[in-house]
Amino acid sequence: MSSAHSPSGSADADEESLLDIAGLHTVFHTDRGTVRAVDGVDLSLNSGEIVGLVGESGSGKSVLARSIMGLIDDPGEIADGDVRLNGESLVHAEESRLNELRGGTVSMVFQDPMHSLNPTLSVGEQIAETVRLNQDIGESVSLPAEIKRKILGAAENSEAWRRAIEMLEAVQIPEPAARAGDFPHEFSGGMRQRAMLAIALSCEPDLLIADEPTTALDVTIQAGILDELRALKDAFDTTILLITHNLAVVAEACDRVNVMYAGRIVERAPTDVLFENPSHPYTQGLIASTPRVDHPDADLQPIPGSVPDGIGEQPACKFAKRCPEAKPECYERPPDFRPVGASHEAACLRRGPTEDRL
Amino acid sequence: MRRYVAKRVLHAIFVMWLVATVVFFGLRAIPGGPIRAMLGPEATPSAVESLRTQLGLDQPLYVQYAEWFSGMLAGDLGTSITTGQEITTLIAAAFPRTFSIAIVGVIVGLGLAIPAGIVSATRKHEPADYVATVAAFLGLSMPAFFIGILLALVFGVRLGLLPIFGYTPIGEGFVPWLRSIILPGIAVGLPYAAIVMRMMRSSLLETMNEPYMTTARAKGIDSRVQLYKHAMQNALIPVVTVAGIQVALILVGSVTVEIVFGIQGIGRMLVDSIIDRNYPVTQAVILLVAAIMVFANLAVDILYTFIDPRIRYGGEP
Amino acid sequence: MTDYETTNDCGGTDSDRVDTDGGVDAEYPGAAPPERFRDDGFVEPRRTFRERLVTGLGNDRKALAGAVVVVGFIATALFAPIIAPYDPNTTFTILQEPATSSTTADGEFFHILGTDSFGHDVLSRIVYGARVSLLVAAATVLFAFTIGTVIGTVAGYYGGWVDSLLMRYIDFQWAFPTLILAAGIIAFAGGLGVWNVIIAIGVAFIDDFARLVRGEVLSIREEEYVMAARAVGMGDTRIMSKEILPNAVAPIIVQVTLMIPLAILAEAGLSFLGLGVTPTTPTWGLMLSEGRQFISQAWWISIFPGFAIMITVLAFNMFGDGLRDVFDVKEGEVSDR
Repeated sequence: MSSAHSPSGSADADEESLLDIAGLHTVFHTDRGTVRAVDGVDLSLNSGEIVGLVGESGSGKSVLARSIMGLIDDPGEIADGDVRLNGESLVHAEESRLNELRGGTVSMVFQDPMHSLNPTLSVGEQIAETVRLNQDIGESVSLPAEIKRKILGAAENSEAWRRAIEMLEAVQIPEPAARAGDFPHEFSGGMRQRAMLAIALSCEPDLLIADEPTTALDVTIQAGILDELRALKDAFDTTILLITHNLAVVAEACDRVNVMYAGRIVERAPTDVLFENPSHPYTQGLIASTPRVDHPDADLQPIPGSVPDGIGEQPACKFAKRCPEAKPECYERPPDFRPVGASHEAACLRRGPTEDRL
Repeated sequence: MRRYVAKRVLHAIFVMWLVATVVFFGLRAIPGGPIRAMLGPEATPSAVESLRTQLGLDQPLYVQYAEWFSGMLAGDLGTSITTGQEITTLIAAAFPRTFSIAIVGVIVGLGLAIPAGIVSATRKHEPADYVATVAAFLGLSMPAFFIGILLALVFGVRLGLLPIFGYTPIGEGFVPWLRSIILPGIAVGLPYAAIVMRMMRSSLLETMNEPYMTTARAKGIDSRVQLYKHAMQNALIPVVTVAGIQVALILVGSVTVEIVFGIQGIGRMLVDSIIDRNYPVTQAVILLVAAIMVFANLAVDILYTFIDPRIRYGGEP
Repeated sequence: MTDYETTNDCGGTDSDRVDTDGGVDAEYPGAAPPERFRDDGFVEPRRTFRERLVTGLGNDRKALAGAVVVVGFIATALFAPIIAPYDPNTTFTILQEPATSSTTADGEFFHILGTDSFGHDVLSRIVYGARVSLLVAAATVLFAFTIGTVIGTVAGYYGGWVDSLLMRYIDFQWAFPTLILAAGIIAFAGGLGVWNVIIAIGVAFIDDFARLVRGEVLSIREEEYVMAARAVGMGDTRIMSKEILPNAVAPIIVQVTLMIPLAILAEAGLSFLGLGVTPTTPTWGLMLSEGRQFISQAWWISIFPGFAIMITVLAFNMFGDGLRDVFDVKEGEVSDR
């Protein structure tokens, strides 16, 4: 059940977006039933912006990211909808085409830098292979070539290696030439995340999906990584989809925000507008439950209940059971997107122009 | 890494010392005393005395201990009670036979196990997987000596293709040598292969689920490259461990299989010495076996440094 | 301070405990939902140990098949006199082929699996052989389990030099393959026989149990309920027996199930080498060794006992594997607290 495709927030309706997700449904078939992890999502990204996707765990945001990359495997599948990158459908593409696009055109940074890097390959190699794969530098990536490279030792003066060192420098890793030969366990957490950024950006992708890039890191390192992201976006002209559960990260780094709940987007707005004027009851609850430095004595209001598990028949508005403003009709009538301000819309029957409101 | 290797070597030496010491005291702790056990209850006092002197058991304990160790390190393992030969000579004759069987066993074992494990893991739940898994179960469930008897029956008796008794030293030709040990080698290698294969399979499956494999996919890397370049090295780490530990299985297998095929190896020596109560020989063989085990484990430890960069370059976590 | 009962369910009770969604519930901040949406969250009764075991195994055909054969093996061992067609020591015509009859002064006797070089009926000896195997396997594992568990628990719980000392011993034992160690013990114990075999193999298995239990204890020791028990002043022994061990039960059970076939194989090996039970006892390993010399004329003397070993060991392995799957999958939930 997808929310009506609205003239989405800030994007110009006639300009072709870089990434266009329409009516996406991703499900997982489990023993307990079919889990609708992404339950009808529309999302558009234009070149050059950093767009945030905010939601609690269980909201489906990581599944959405993987759906875009085509990384959904048994027992999951994309059941409906489409994802178009530069007009090309990713959902209907062959695996080989997806492989071509991955790394080079669209790449992803993962949540856990400690475990997302291969412990048996040097950091430099992990960057270099991406370069070889996605840039035309004449170095083969076939299995025999890899074997040869392994036996003879990575050519330290090869183009790919040079580029790897360049990237390490770009993400501010000191002594990049020396560090390129080091292994992931020799790097600290923050540096590992930077290395992952280096890998993801080494081929100057059009789109970078960053899934919780700062979650596994110390607060003090987080700011650095976010700065890095912005700098790299400018340097390489990459569009970034920043996925997080952390509102502070969103406030810090994103141009505009999508709020996700239980597999659906419930609110969209430019960042400052969202924080000044949260509209959807869920967003309001989210912000109210976040401690704020500028309101140190405010009472924190946790949202009662927990995220539904997405199995079986669901009420029309998935938030209704936890919503202080819920009306009986909320359970029956699907909440479509209503404009609530400049470039600002919320999927709630109780918002929007007065005539339309519940 | 050097520290790591040094630690492992020291540990190995310590264990060997411990083993030698336990064996030393074990012999002397036999109920009724080793002399009586060896000669039997009707032994004459003079026979007992002469044996005691011959074995040096009349000396004070610490002297015995010192002589025992110095002898060992110098390569003197004593003499056999029954034949009077130098035990070192006996071992030098018997060991190559056992070693031949063991080598064939390891080669056959690994040669089957690793490809089978990879195929099984990459084609999980397909027919190939089921066949391999069932075969592994069977391999685990048959003792090596039974496999040996079956092989002897089929290839020796029924088909008459291969000899089932005796050993041909390699000096008399490579092919005859191979023919004499191929059946025992396979018998010893199959249970080994079963265990290693299961570990290869499960380790590979686990590795494929690691986050860094998702990263590799997200980069657009070809699936075969993913398997061999990204997954294999990681997956092999526990496999190397098991392959090393299970050398025990090869040794044990060799001991029993030697009996089946009438090969005069270490196994035969051990069994005969126990039945004859030829304790010096028993002692020596047990020490040898322990030494092989300790050495095999040490080899595995050192192999790690090549496979796992975390050990080679122990950096900060 | 609640006294935790130690039952076979690892301290849990058999009552179903209901998992509701997160805590604050039953009141809706806004309008209440219509009936059909009211069953919120996922009400999943917390399944007890036994239920999980039965469901888990029930779905695993391999494990079930194994279990059936294991029961058959135990039954054969227990009811040997009833099942075996003849007494294992009675002699008929020697080297009788399978599925033929021998004729002696007392009449005609049918031998499904033939007779051996002494004239014993092979099938009867196989049936009685199951007895020896079962006895040795059970006693051995029990012995190793008891001592190994004590060593492992003490080492894991106390740590420090006690642990180091015990670990040295385990390291030492590790340098000996089971069969070699058992043979050595038999050598130095001076004599064959079932009991020596049990002790020899039992000692050889101690290190496996000790290491497993030690590992479990080490991880459980850090759990909060253990800290809580110590904070309240519970004595060490009591903590070890009532808090820690019941939660380590699952892997221990799996280990036991997987060691039984190893014990059977070890006994067969020892007997095959002539270092096991006394020469006339019907036991599979010994039958294999006796039959070896007749492999060209009377293959059945070795082959049938060999298959008996194989089938029994296989059954235990399949069953043990199934058990391991059932427990491993729910690793974190094994304690029903």
